[in-house]
Amino acid sequence: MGPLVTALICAGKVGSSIGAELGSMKVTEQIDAMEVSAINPFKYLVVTRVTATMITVPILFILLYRCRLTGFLFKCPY
Amino acid sequence: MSILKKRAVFTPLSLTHFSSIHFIDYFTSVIKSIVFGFTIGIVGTYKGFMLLREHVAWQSRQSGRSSGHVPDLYGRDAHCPDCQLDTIFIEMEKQSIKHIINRSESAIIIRDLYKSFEDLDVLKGVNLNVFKEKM
Repeated sequence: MGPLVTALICAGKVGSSIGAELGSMKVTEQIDAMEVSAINPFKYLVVTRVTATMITVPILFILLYRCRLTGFLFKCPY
Repeated sequence: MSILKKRAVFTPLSLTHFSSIHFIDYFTSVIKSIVFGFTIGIVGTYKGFMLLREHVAWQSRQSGRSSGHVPDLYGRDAHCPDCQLDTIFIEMEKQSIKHIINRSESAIIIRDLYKSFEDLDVLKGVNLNVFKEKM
């Protein structure tokens, strides 16, 4: 459940922000400008974001897991 | 009754849980997190790149036409009331096309200009018309 909950939270926050940012770049033709400048937008926009999420989501999961274990110490009665 | 009394011993979950954590639990969860992160990144970027196409389909639905409406040259809906700037650009394009017919007014004419850097196409059929006394 831990990775799933972390992924749901990140999908709501990170996924929507990535989509909105790239969508605004697409509408304002910034991506077309990158193509004209002989820059591959896939490398600079997609690969970096996917790599960032692949790194940060496990880190967030570990943080959440540690918080959950810490919560057990205070929450659980006999 | 004696068996029930023996089994009904409550221990703090914090003590039992810490002792039951193994490396394989962490490892599989981290692998799952990486896969989820990859999925979030792919879906987010895909939705961002496909926003314009979805926007056009949404506008088509709003104006009562089918979502399979073919957009114009730039992927925009020319009849959308919200896209006045696009409509202006399209009208300008139509005006320039009218000028293209009268070639005697043009000083520089470029037709179907293509340019690519290896596999990356940067210019895909550019048309340019520079009229006299416009430079």
